[in-house]
Amino acid sequence: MADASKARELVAKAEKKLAGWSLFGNKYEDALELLEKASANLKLAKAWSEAGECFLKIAQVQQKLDSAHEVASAYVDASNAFKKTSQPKSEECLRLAVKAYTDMGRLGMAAKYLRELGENAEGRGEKETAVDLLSQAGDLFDGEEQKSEANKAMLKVASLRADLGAYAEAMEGFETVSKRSVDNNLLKYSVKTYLLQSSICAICLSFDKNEPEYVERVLEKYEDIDPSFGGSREHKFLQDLQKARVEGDVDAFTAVVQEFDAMSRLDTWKTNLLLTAKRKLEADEDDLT
Amino acid sequence: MSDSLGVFDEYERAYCDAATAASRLLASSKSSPAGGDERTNNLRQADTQITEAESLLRRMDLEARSASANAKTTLLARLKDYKADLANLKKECRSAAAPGGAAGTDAAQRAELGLGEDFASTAAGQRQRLLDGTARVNASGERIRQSRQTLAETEELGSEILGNLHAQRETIVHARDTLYEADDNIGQSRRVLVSMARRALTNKIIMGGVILVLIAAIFLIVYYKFIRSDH
Repeated sequence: MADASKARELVAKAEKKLAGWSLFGNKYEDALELLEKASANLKLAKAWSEAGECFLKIAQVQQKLDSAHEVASAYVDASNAFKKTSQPKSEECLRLAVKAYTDMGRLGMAAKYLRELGENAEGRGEKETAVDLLSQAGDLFDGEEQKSEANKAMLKVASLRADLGAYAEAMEGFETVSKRSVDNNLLKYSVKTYLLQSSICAICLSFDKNEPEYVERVLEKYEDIDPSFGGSREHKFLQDLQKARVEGDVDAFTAVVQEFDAMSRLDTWKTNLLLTAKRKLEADEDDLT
Repeated sequence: MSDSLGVFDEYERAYCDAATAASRLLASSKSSPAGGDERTNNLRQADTQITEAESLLRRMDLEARSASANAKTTLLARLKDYKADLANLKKECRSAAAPGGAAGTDAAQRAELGLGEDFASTAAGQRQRLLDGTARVNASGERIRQSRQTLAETEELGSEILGNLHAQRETIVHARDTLYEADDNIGQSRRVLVSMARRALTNKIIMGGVILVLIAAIFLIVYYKFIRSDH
């Protein structure tokens, strides 16, 4: 605990420096040096929340020194320190960092931390907040011409929206990303996956719209987006699903899903959506009978 | 091309007739008592049929070789089967014609021992073979399914890797842009530094000039004050 007590001493010294006033040299810079040493010691002592407070103090002092960049990185450090003890505080710091980076015009950095915030929110299950933050991050990435990061954020937003039941918006997101990726040699192989995801959303949406033929139109549209989508395994799967859906045959629907799953395992997201679709199909069938 | 194929088909039909006749004659010669007239007769006839079949096969071979490239492979494969068949027939015929009818005594001995016909030709044997074949087909089907699954997984992985590559490429390009920017900045600062150095030099020179002027003024003043006042 030698590190911790030494750090506390340093912090006290720095505070005294800040409270008093010196004629020679800059008291802020001296205090800063002390605080930085203190934070390093606190980290060594694994006193994370104290380290976080220390970084916050550094941020305050840096603000007085008018060095925006240092302020932002101090907030990020604080957030990393708080992450180990209190998640809300850590996010608060991250938000401050994002604000600082945005003010500075470093939008790429701001987007990076926004995405981190969004992923945290998603981890806690707050999907609305996550959608909000991630779409902001996506827009910023897009503005900074970091296309692949922007795409990643948009895909995440789209799949979260689908989870929330906003299928039309989700499809829009998937389609935008697909259109962007199809001309790129490295990304064109992923387009099929995006279109599959989008089409599953379309199946769910067709129940909400009460329009069984909707999916067929969507599939045709997707064949135009990516010519290699037609005739692929995914395309056949979707067509079979659509057939089962139009006929209202729940057993056939299940069989088709099983067949596809035997070839390549469906992930949690797809399983969830297909389950939703199946329930809706069952409900439709009950209505008819 | 269709012409040569037609000739081939004709030969093939003739060969099939000859081969079936030969095998029928062989079978009947087996059932007839050893050393009998009928048996030798049958055997001789079978022998002539086999020779005929052989010459037919040779002609088919010629036809097949003159056929077009893609038809050739299938025809040659069929021919190979026929040749193997014929070789079997020949062997059978020779063993039946051997003095004392070795095949006949062998069959009798086998029957005495309680063995049936050749196991492969009995119903049970064929059934067994069929089962084996089905099992093999099933196993290969399963293997194909597995490899398709692996392929699907690999495809997914590959597309993911390509995505990552693209992201990294973007990062690298970004880093390069930043680097160029930094390079520009450094160049600019170098120019600033050079101009600063030049200005410092001119300042120094001016200062030197001023000092010289001042010294000269001092001397002038001293000269006028003392030398003149002496007079």
